[in-house]
Amino acid sequence: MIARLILPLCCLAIARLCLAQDAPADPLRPILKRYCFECHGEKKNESGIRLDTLPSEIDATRINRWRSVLKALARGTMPPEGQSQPDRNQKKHAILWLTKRLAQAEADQRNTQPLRRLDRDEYRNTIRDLLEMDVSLFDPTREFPLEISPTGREIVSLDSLTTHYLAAANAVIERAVHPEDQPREEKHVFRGRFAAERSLCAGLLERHDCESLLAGPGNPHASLTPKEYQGTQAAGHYRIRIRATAVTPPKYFPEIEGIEAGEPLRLAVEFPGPATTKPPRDYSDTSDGSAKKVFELRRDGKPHDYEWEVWLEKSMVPRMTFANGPKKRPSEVWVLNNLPDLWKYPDPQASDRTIWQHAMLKVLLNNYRGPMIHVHEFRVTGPVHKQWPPRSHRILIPADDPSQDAEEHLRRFAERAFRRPVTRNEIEPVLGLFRTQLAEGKSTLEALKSGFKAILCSPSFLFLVEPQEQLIDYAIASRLSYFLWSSMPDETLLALAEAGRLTDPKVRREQTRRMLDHPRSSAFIRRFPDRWLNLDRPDIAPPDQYTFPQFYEWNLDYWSRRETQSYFHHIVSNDLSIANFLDSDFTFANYELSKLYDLPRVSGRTLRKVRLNGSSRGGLLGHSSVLMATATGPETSPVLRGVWILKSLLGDPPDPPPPAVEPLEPDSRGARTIRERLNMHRSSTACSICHRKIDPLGFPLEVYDRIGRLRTTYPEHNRRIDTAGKTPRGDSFRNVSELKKLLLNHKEELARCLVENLLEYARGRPAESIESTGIDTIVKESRRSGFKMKQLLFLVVQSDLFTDN
Amino acid sequence: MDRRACLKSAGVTIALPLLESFGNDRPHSTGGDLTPIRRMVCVANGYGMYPGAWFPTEAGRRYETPRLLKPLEQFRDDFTVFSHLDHGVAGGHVGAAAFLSGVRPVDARAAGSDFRTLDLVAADHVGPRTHLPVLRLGRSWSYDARGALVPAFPTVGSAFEKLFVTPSRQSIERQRHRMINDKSILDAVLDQTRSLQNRLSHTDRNRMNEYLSAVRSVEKRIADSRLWLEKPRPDVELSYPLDVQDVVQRVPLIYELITLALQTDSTRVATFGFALDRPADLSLRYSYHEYSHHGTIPERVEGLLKIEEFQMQELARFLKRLKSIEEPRGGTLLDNTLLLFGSGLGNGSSHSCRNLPVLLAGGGLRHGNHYSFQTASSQSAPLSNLLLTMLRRFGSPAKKFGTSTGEISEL
Repeated sequence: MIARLILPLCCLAIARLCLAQDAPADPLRPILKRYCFECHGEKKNESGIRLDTLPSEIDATRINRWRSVLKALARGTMPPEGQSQPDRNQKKHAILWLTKRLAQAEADQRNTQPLRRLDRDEYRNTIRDLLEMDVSLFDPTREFPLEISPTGREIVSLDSLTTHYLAAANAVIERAVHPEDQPREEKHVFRGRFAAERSLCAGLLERHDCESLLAGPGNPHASLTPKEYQGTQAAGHYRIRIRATAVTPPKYFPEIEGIEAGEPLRLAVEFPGPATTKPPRDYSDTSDGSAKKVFELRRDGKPHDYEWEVWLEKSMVPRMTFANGPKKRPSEVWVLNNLPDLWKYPDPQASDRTIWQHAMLKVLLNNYRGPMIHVHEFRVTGPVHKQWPPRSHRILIPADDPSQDAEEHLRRFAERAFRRPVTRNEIEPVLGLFRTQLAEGKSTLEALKSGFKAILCSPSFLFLVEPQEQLIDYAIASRLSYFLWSSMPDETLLALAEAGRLTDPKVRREQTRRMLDHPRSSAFIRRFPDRWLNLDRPDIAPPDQYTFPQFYEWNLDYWSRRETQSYFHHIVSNDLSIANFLDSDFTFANYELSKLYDLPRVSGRTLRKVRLNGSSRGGLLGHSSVLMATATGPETSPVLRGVWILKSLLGDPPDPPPPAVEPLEPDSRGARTIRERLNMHRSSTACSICHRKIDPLGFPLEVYDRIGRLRTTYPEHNRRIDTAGKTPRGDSFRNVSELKKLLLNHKEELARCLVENLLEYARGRPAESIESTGIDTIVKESRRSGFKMKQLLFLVVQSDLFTDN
Repeated sequence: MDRRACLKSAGVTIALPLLESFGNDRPHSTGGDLTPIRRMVCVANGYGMYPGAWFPTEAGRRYETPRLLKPLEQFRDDFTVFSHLDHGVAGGHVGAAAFLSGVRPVDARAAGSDFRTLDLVAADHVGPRTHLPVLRLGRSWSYDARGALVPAFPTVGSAFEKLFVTPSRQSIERQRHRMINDKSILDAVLDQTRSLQNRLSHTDRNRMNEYLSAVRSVEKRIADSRLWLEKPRPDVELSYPLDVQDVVQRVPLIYELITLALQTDSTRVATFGFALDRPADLSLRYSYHEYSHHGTIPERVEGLLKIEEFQMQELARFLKRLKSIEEPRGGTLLDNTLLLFGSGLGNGSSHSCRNLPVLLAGGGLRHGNHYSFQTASSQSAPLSNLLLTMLRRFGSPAKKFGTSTGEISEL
């Protein structure tokens, strides 16, 4: 333990010594002294930057600050125009010197980072494509530790992950191999044979004299299940057909029904999965193992068939619910006022409130005339297997007799799993395992399975790392496919790699175009905006359920992110300008979001492109996903939103507060507005340094509340929100619309920020200073093509930076 | 694996007839050694304790008990409370993760040196003498040498099953087969990794060492588990149902499980982290996290205090329970257990990581005091000093831990 601590200390001491010797050769210091300290020194510390106290050793904590210095010098933004400038040669020399030292510091830092490995999504997608297996309800990574925690992205201990890799390899191979006979297709039809939770609505059911229906205010969990159904007999594709009628009443009571006139009734069918130990973090996958489908019913009051083809696991039993059915229990006052003939107010002496509330509900239900769904028939057919044994089995063992060419099966699978050719040497340990197990008396099939499992635990499968002497093309194939598909390369990419074509930027561009059109690119559309915009955090501190019930009722966590994804997708696929991220006249909304944003109502659950017609919602700053991700506490924070603009749109994140500065204690008692409190905060120099830049950008966004609804006053003190502010360049604005107009002058910064984020997403590491020139080139070319999004993507993929490690 | 049957007989708190025989049966028996076994338990939450109701105003023995320490009043001589200890870091929740290591995991990674958390270092000192190196429950605050999170048991039930449910014959056979097969798969993986390493660049080769050592450590864990596979598990009875949903029922269950694990020497190190729950049974309107952002609104502060008081009441129950158990080698279980309670966040509302709430109980130390480490020259002392002190009293020869500058001699 002593050695463990002394060693770094020694290194530090040696480093200091070296620096001391280097010091006279520092060509930067004189420049800083002469041209910078006056404004960024003790006296003025302009923009909160002090260079005189910034130690010249570049360690992990100072990399960012030295990066800003380099940026300002290299781009000539500092010293500002009109001020005396350093000699060109001298400056060039200093820039080169600083770049080199920064590069060294960054490389050192990079080497302490873990090797890039498949994350949960990538692992699951790779298994899907590697074995052509349906993984919609099968998640081998379900038990993997979460990669996101309240402190952000967690790096999980590799020791504990390795146990999970082993378990996942076992599960995947056992599931892929099918030595048994094909399961027979069966058909089950249920008419009127449903088990329902109906204690409260018995009278209602009789009155309607139909097979079944789903309704009931205060009974949101009312559901129907086919009676005496044993569940699916084996995994496979199933066809579901439901005959149902939407019963819409002439009059609506949104107070209890939760539906507004004109909103379609939604029938949800769900095959719940096995109970999981952990709730899934990622809303969009089905890693809770359940299959779900929501039908929007036709509104003509006649029975219709609704069909669904779905992959189901073994022993799954369906459940039908009225997805947007009545949810709320009406208050007694409401019932008295609206349905006076139904219910008399009970004896005020009645001691047990719950009993008479229950009685009231029962009366209400039995006289219910609100929207309902009648289910006449439920039909399930399956499993359907187009081929047997399934593809996954044939991929592993192409021959009927597994012993035929057994070792060749292993070699071929390794090549597929490693996404590149394998050498004799590297497959040898797997073959050795296979032979030993055969010699120990295991069947060929069992020994093969062990070999396949060993391949799935191999670092060549789990890590995105390539042998040095390998053709770089295979590495590029993987980089492209994990970038755009979050999965392994397909045959086209591998064939191009084999032909040595992927080093050609033009080929990469064509591939990117092809890959973006492939459905697998949904992984990029879904994951990249989350990373770039830091959206994958709102689920950690969801808004308070009493003040913001809409967040829960409307499933905003999901739909707001879907809005941003649809928006991003639209901009990419139509090759629109990235300026749309700053401001635009459209967004995507469904019924719920149109209510949230107070736009003309969109009907239905599906997101549609909507015109904003002058509303101030345009651009990402109007998206509730962004507004929620930048308000993690119970109230909104101009600081978090200001930081978000700097980081995600302008690519210039402020440094974290220094350890010596105690954070501001939030005070929601309402005596002062957040603006007033922040003004006090800024009066201390230590804080004002950064907050002068941050807070003014956040103030105009205060007109959006915790979930992104427009407001004009604060609810706590009813005071008008002051939305005026200033950009870092010093331009003033009065409100969010003016802020967006000013932001449109910063397209170049946004382009740069996007390039850096795209590169980080593709390569799994942040861009380094030495790459700054390369990034500048991309940004310049992007400007030439009008900052079009798809073109920008092409430029990134074509650049040498994309193929760098 | 029928833990239901085992739990059905709930009601009687505990029946541990043959504690020592389980001990002597251990693969690595301590033989005739009669010195008491040392244990360590670290309990942490992620939101701190409301400073105004936690820190005593006076230093020394005769401090007036603040509201949050009231539930521990009767054990005043069994614990010490500290003020102005911290790790000197910032960053809110990111900084809070330094609680048990002294260094933020992000910085530990960048520094490239070994800043493991206290539980891991302590478990290393114990070695493979117990069934489980560390029993981790709730939210994990453990980070490995590379600043990577070491997860906790996903559920209390899975931990109980592992420690106290003797598997059926059939299941033992199945597990044995699986272990043997897994071992040979991992051997092949080791060879594949070495062979790949030879073809990697110098830095990638070094970085790949991490996987090599991970595979080795899983192999070792499998080998250790095989030694325990056939051992009957200690026969304990749990007086709580395992499948509880709410944190209010789960906390007593977790403490009971830790007690049983320590008592049966199934482990000597345990950690428990309060999760981000909504304690339904406390009849509160908001979640723990929402209350931690109280914004100084009095009703919200009161809600937060309710949740914190609940934590202290449960801690008091745990102390009482440990104190009630006489150990075969002398002393009570509390005397032989160093129990740390605290948080890496000093103030959950402002997200300050300074002046952390910290309390140490048991372990046969001199307790009953409130020590303040604020001096004219410095705001605070390193919390690492207390962690080092614990490590030393645990029996480790460590001279340094985290960012320690020495031990806390007062204890």
